[in-house]
Amino acid sequence: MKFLSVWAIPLFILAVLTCGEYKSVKVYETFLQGAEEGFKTGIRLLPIFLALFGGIAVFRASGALEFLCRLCAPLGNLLQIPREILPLGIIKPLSGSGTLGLMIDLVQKHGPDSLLGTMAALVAGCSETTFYILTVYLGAININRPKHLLLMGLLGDLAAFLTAVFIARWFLG
Amino acid sequence: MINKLWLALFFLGYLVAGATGRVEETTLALLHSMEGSVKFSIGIIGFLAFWSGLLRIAEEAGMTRWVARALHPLLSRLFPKLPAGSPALGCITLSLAANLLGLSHAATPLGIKAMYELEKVNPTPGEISDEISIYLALILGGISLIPSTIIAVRVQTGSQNPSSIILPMLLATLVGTSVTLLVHFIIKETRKAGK
Repeated sequence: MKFLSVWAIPLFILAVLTCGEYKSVKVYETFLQGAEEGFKTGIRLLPIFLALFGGIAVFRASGALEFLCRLCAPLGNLLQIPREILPLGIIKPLSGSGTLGLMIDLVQKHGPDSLLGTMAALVAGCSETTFYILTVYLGAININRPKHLLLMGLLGDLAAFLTAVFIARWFLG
Repeated sequence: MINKLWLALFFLGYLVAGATGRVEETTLALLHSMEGSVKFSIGIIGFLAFWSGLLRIAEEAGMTRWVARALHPLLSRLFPKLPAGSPALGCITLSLAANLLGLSHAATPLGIKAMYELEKVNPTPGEISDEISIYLALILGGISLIPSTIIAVRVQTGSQNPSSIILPMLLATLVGTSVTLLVHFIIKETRKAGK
């Protein structure tokens, strides 16, 4: 497993370069062309990040996120979701770095093999950061209205979250 | 919808900040986020550019077409309108593979590339096509075979069996992906019925 994760990226790079050379592609010039395109995409994404991270920063720092978690607590109790895990599920669609930070905190506090530690790890990895994916992927091709995709992402997050919680209970509880 | 949500983040945020007396900290966090997002963008530009460059080579060498052809039987059910060997299908396959293997750094540039290709064959440019919707259902569902970041965290915190998370994770992501795909098909059917 470790071997695979260490070698996956270098092997991919070498395979692409070998294929390019074999097919007599001008690898260096072609790389520069592609890199320029990637650079432009990155620049176009900057204002999107500015808007997204700004809004989320206000929502988190003000305590509004905490408040939302407290509002959801009775529902969490009903579904037997531990109160430490609930904030993770709420921040998950909004912020990838927030999720990771919170997850590491929980895993360190309770131990990686405890019920809460395992549940936190599962919840953190069980779905993508919906807001980030939608803004970046749709933003790259200048589509501003996500239409049903937001609902789709959030329902997927919810389903994955509940599954993760119940699997963790079932495996360890 | 994204407009209202974004508005809500600020208004609800400052409403709560006002009520709890955290206005100053909130504004500070906002100012920090401005710097943070530029730093994040600079970081992401580096690897976006690198992977886009590498992908351009792969494309010129015809690799994306081979990948698309090899996995066509699997994906042609989800993307019936994309012909075998089309660049869009190749990019979709590569980006899904990167996600599956937990190569999160490679996944974003590959995904953006796939979006460009999908937009090229979009019958209604600027609007979400069926193909874009299905592709994003797969991405948002986030099927994961090797959740490398999570495993790394478990290794670092001294787990006895860090990779024991793989199977339950796969199961949870499969449920999530089934739901996103289900939402896609339900929406598609109701639209058809409405017409």
